[in-house]
Amino acid sequence: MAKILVVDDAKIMRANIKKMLMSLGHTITGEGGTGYEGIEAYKLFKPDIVTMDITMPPDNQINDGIDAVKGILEFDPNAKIIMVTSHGEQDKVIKAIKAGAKNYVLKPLKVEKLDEVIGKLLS
Amino acid sequence: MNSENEILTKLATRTISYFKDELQLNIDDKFEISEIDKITYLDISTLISLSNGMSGTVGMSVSNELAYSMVEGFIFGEIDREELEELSSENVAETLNITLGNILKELDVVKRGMTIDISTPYTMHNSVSITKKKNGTMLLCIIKSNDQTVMLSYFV
Repeated sequence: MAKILVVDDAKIMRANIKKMLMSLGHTITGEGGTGYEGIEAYKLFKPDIVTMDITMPPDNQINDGIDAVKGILEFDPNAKIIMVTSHGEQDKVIKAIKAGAKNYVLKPLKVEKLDEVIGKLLS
Repeated sequence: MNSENEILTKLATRTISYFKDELQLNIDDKFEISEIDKITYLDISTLISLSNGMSGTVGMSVSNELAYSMVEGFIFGEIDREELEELSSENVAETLNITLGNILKELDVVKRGMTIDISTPYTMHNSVSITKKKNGTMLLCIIKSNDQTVMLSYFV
């Protein structure tokens, strides 16, 4: 089981992801509502995995989830980050993967898919 | 079909499938799109602006009662009343964000190679009215769900 950081500007998405992850036996080590908060929370909590929304409002020159991926990987090149995205954001997903994100899940989220992607990262 | 009708038609179709498949809510399969001069929104309304390949503003509006049902359908596992009320307006925003994001790649303008950027959702509470701009376009789509109404709109 993993310690997981959840980053999403939508409180309902964070609530939903947290409920799904806890049902799978994982621990929520922290959460963030912007990419900047995600970077700071990563430094503080050092989670095993991060779920990262792509589109979030700018905060302290971190414009979105892609910038946050870069910021986290500067701090920890081995960070395991899963992007959370909608179907229409393929270009952004590609940018996030090129920036170093390990995988992605599509909204609307399915607990089975989340379990599968996390399982691959932990194995 | 012009691009304004296209986006609302595809958004309505996706909203119907989203309500059925993701929220487990009853919703009519039929909808009509009409040109109007003024929109009076319901209890909770979210607007998302389009830019680059297409301009304008897309909206979703529902009653509080339907918004609560949408949260119950969206959230994994149990949810208490306080959480339900706290999350209901944001869930309307997230619903429009997801469904709009889902249909963008199906739009003709995107298939022709252009991109459409969408803003972060802006949510309004209580009934508000918006009047069509001079020489503007304003479209409304009504879908019935559980004796409630889902209003989708587009204006530019």
